[in-house]
Formats: sequence, C-alpha cells, structure tokens
Amino acid sequence: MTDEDQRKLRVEFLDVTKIFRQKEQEIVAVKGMTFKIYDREFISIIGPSGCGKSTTLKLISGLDFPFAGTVRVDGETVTGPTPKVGFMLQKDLLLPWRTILENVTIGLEMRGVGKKERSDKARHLIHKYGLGGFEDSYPRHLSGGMRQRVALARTLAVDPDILLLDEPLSALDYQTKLKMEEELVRILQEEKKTVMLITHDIAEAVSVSDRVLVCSARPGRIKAEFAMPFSKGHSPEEARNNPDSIEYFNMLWRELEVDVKV
Amino acid sequence: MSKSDAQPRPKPRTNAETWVIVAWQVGIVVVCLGVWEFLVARKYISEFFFGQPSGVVSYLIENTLNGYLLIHTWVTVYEVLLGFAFGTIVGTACGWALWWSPFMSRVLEPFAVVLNATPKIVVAPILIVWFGIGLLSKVMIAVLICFIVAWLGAFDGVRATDQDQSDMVRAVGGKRRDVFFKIVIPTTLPWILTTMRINIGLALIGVITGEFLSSSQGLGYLVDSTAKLYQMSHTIAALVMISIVAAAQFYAVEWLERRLLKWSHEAELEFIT
Repeated sequence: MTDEDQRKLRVEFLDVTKIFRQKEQEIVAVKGMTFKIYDREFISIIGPSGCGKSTTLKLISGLDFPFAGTVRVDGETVTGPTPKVGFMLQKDLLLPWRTILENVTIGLEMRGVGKKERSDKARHLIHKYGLGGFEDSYPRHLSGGMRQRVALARTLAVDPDILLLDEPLSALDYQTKLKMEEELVRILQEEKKTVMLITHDIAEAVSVSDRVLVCSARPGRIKAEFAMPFSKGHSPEEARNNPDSIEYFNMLWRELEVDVKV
Repeated sequence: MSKSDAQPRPKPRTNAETWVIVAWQVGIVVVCLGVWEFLVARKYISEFFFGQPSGVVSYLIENTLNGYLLIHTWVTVYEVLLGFAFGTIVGTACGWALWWSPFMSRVLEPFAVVLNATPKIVVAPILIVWFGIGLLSKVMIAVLICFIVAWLGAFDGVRATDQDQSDMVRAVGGKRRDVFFKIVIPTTLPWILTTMRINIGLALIGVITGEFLSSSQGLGYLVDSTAKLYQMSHTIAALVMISIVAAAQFYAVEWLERRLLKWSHEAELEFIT
C-alpha cells in the first residue's frame, strides 16, 4: 500500500455526510463516508439499495453538495460541475430530439467548440465505438446497447479524466451487458481514465476493478475495502475465468450479506 | 413448417379500399343533403325554419363572388389569428419563465388550477365592456383564452423536464442557460404544440362568441344576425364558412406539429386542458 500513497490522488471523499429532507422526514443518505481514488484507478462501490452510492456520484460530479465533510477533486474542493469529471448512468440520457451526432456533440457545443471541429470529433468517436452509419439516426432507432455506446461517446467527447459510472449497463440484457463490459473496460484502459463504478453486480466488480469498496446499508459508509488482483492487464472475461476470482466473489458476498435482508 | 401457408395474414390496405371509404363519405353527404332538399321541396318541413341546401349553395356562391362573405370571413380569421398568435406567444413565454423561478411557480400554482378549471369564455362580456364592440374586443377574448391555455401548457411541460438530462447538460459543461435552451425548450415543445391545437379551436369559439355578443362584422355576426331574421339558408351558409375556417386552421396546426416533431412519431400526450 505504500506505493499507492505516492500515486496522485484524484478524488477525496472525507467524512462526508448528506441529508435529504423529504417532507417532515430527514433521511441520512450518507454518514461519515471516507474514501480516496488514485490516478488511473478503477474502483467499484457495491452495497445494498439505497446506501447512498448514487449520492456519492452526484457529490463528486458537483451536482450536489455535502451537508458535512469535504469532497475534493485533484485537491480542490468541489463547488460545481467540472470538465474533469464525466458520468454515465443506467439511463442513457440521450435527447430524443437530437440525432446521434448531435447527442455526441452536446458537450462540445457547451464548450464553444466550432461546428466543423465538434462534428469531426464526434464522427471519429461514433466510428470508433462501432456506430458508423447511425450519425443521422434518432435515438429511438437504436438498441439499448447502442444507445449506451452513444452515451459513452457523449461522455468521452469532452475528455474527462475521471469517469463516474452508475450501473451504466444494468438495463441491458445479460449478453449485451457482458459484451459492453468488455468494450467499456478496454476503452477506459486505453484512454487511461480514472473510474468509479457503482454496481450491484459482485461478479462485475471483481472482474473489472482494482479495488472494491463495500458500502453499508443506509446511512451509507464504507465498511470494507478489498484490492482486486484480476483486472490488471486482463479483460473482464479473463478475470472472470480466473478460478481465484470465486474466492473474492464469496468474500464480497459475505461482506454484503450482513446488510441485505430479503 | 409447410403449414405456414394456411396462416391467415392481415390484408394490406389497398387503393380500392380507400376509394370505397371516400365513396361512402361522399354518399353520406349526398344522401343527407338530398333528403333535406327533398323534405323541404315537398313541404314536409318548413324552409322558414330549416333552410334548404340549394338555397345555402346559391347564397354561398353569390356572396362569395360579390365578396360579402369573404369580408366577414376575413374579419373572423384576422381576429382569430391575431389573438391566437399573441396569446400563445406571451403565454408560452410566461410558462417558460417559471422554469427560472421555482419560487414563483409555487406561488402561482393555485391560480393556474383555478384559471384552468374556469370556463374561459365567461370573460367575453367584460372584455367587450373594456374594449368596445370593434375588432379589438374579439382579439382580446382570443388573446386571453390562448394566453391561459398556453401558459398552463408550457408550465406543465416545464415541470416534466427530466432532472437527469439537465444534470447531464451541466456535467458536460452547460450553464443554466444551456439547460433552458437545450433541454427545457425541446421538452416543452410537444406541450406547446398540443396547446396550439387546443388554442386555435378555442380562439375561434372566443371570437365568434364575441361577435354574437356585439359586433357588426364577422361570421359570428352573420350567423347571429341572419338567425334573428329567420334567414336560415344564410345562417347555415355562414356556419359552413365557419366549419371551413375551423378545418383549415386545424390542419395548419397539425402540419406545423408534424414539421416540428419529426423526431418523434409518438408525440401523443395525455394532456387535457
């Protein structure tokens, strides 16, 4: 762990508490949550439903702010959305009134990139992610897997270093999901991104991450942390086929089970 | 699998079928008018009370050619279009404006509910008192009705804006202004077009009601004044013109809707005013 300390810190989540007010009730979504993400690390957060995983994502992306504690990205306290951080949700959030090309260019438009340049860049990404020929189609013509690939292209078009993924593949059918998972991990490794993945899928967490954080039931906090030896230099499929991965799966499962009441 | 030949298939709609439908439609009109004409000619019913198709047609032809009907039609169309355009534009802008101020939208919410539930036509007599018996009072009736409907419609659309889409725009670098132009406006577009479809009809009702109440021009005036003189064929001719105007307006808005919403074939909204 000592060499980890020398790596560059990207995200710091320090003793963060977040409370939501719902009518008369106060809901403590996250209480005293602390974790760190280092440069080019792929971490996953798993935990029972409603443990504040998605809240974490909103806080890092600067769309919401903590009640107590500090959230820092690259050493600076988060005060609003920053171009360094991109996210992808289970919902692809494609705008139905825009073509695929226009959906991918939306972030570049906001940045004031010229029309020619943004269209070139978007076309490049669209081709790279296997969507060539769909530039002028509308989202409703695309399958779920393709739509998520467009969402990925849109997210990466503005070059964020840090990617927050909130169950981005969980709405897909199993085969598509596995295939997309392979692609996603390959792309993110190639692009040297720092990634935080929120997931329910323990097998996914084991096969893609460098580190897995286990979140407790509400109010959420990090109750355990495991380094995963499988993903470095391996595809998710290879990692899954590693016989040792079962052991890690069971370990995470036991850690979660305590909190999950069926 | 050889049995698949026996499977019944839905028949594709053919040209011939379309023609049969048109023939039926024409037939219904011809039969109705024929029976009506026959009953009046044979004096089974009185021309004085029911008019006569041939009388209606000759009145329509004569008064279209000499321009009399066209002037009244133009007055009505002019009042409707002016009122519709102003009311819809200002109302829509006010609905959008509420996106910028969640506080004001909470303040105005109960007013919206009451205004929506009240039959808007009741303001007509007041507006005639305020704006006189000329064109302006009819335009104002249409403005007011269209304003309320457009305002509430745009406001409804604003509230349907997807928070996650807005967050996405902000996450990729958009400001509040970008969220407004790139998410809020396109989201509300189907609502606005629906209100336009409703408004074009309501504006016509408003204007004609105004003309009934007091005026010296317009199709509403024509209907009202000829009916009072028991000139039934003339009244019915004016009514025919109103139907033509209403249909033309409706199709114009539909055409606009199809143009603007080409990204969505399922622009059906469960939105009732």
